[in-house]
Amino acid sequence: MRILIVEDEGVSVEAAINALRTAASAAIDVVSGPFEAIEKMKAESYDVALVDMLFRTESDEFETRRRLGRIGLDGGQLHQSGLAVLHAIAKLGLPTRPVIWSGGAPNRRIHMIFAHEVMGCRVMCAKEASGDLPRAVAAALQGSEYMHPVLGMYLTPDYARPLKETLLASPARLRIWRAMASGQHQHKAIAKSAGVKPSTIRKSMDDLRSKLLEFDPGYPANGSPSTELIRYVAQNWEFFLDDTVRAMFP
Amino acid sequence: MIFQVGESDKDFNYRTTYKLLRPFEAVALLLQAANLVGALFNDNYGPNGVRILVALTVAHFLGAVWTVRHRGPVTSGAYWAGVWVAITFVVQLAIAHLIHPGDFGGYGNGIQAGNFSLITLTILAFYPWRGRFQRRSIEVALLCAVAFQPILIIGIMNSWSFSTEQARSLVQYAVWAIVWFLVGKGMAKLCRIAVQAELKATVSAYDVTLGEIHSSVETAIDRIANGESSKRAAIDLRKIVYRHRRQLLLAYRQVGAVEIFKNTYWLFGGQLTLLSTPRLGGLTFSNERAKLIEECLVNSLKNVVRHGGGRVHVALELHHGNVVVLTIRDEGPGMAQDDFDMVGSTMQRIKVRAKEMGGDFRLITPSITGAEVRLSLPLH
Repeated sequence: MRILIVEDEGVSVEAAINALRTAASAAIDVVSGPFEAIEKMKAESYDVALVDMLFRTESDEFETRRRLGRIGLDGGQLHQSGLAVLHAIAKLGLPTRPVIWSGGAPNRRIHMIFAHEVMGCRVMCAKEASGDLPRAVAAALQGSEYMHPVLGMYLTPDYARPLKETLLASPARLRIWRAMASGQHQHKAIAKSAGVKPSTIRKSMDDLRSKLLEFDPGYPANGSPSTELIRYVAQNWEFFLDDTVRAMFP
Repeated sequence: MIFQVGESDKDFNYRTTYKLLRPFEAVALLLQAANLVGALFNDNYGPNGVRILVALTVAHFLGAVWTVRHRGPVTSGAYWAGVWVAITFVVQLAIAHLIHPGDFGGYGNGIQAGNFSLITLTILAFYPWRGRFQRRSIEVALLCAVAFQPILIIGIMNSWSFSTEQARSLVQYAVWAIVWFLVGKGMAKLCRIAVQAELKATVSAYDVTLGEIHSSVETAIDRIANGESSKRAAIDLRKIVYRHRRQLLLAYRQVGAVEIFKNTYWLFGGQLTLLSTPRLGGLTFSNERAKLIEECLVNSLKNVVRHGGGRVHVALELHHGNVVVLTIRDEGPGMAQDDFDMVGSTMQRIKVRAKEMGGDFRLITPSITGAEVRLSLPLH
């Protein structure tokens, strides 16, 4: 069995290797980011890819550019996450089975929902439960579902509507979300970045918030919609500016 | 990632000062409106002059309201900043012509409605112009223009003949121009110092937190190296990590439901068996509710671990679209209603806070088949 670990934190890599080696004999390779992972999977055949969701080197460099307002939304590469590896496996028809291996930071929340709901990833293991990795890998190899009970909480509940029908429902609204995530806060600047008129932004704000409330019923329903949406996007910019999400939902 | 001290001071100063500028612009427009009202009462204008000054006052007041709601002239870009500067000069020229002949600077105590121009000068001294050369050029040009404009006006109107009072007024005005300019520069400096101090405090807080985590890890390593149980050391370390995660998590204005549940679960780690967990998706709670839900979870799960056998069902539902209902049920010996109702107990504290927020916290099944507690809370 060949396993590719896509992880940039040494301690997590060690934990994963120890858990997997204890359970079974496996040839394990480690790469520290999605680009290297995709190249490696193209060149060699792996049975399982253990994929972290966010990578510090990718995020730090991108965040610096974002804060300085140097993110262009037309063309050019956006933020890279573990979703890129899952997308490449599906798009290139690779035989590798993905296992999401994620920690608990809030900025991964929508990525996890996206991976399950849109990309159909059914095997997820929490970093805090590395002892469960062999079970997760076995489930991935058998094509069955395995999700640590804690990660099962990422699934969309009945009282909320899925991502596809809310945040991802309209390309025009997604452009506005991305413009705000890129650091634009004024209607005029958001409009310029999203390629629409400022009046369109003003009119869209209530609609954007109502869609957000369908996805997250706990989000504040009062107050200025622009301010609330900008706050939301500031906490979740990694998702709205994700390169894979843009590739799948332009 | 936080903005690093010293890494890009120029960008940092620009961005922070720019953010402070909008409310400052609104105050400046309001002060200009007040200055024009003061001129109406203090100086001698004809009927046309009064009408024009009233119109200008109203325009500046509306401009201040617009700036609060949208943005001001300087933050709207070079074009509108230029328009504002031009208006400043035009207004002073107009006042010189509208006022009773000979009054403009004629009393030796300054220029009538002179503060009107000086307020603009202060704002433009505060503005973080990009580039040292650009900043210096604009500032010197403005300072000179503001200080020399009344000289030109009086000179042209009086064929370059200045009375002693006018000369005294012009000197006073020039001195005030320099003072107001320095006030603008000083305020910008103060704001930057305040932001830098806050940034340093944040970095220092990170240092303290990381320092504590490092020393906890080192202590745990030491304990394991000295033959202590690694499981015990891991439990202690987990508690420290939980505490810090909780601290960070509950600092958010909106807190993710998944993160609250996950963090609480990892606190008890191997001591809990989750028989069922709720689907939470992208749900978030306001900070106040998140704190209560977290406290309820921690204390209920602590009871499950101590008395309930560690096996637990956790459910979260939304009733009527606005009331979140959290249910925690274990398979232990149950909880007596008297224990739940004990005055001053944690459970009662949670109940009181839940009621304050329009919700409730109740023991559902005080039986021997397991304890079930339920927290209901309006989402908004």
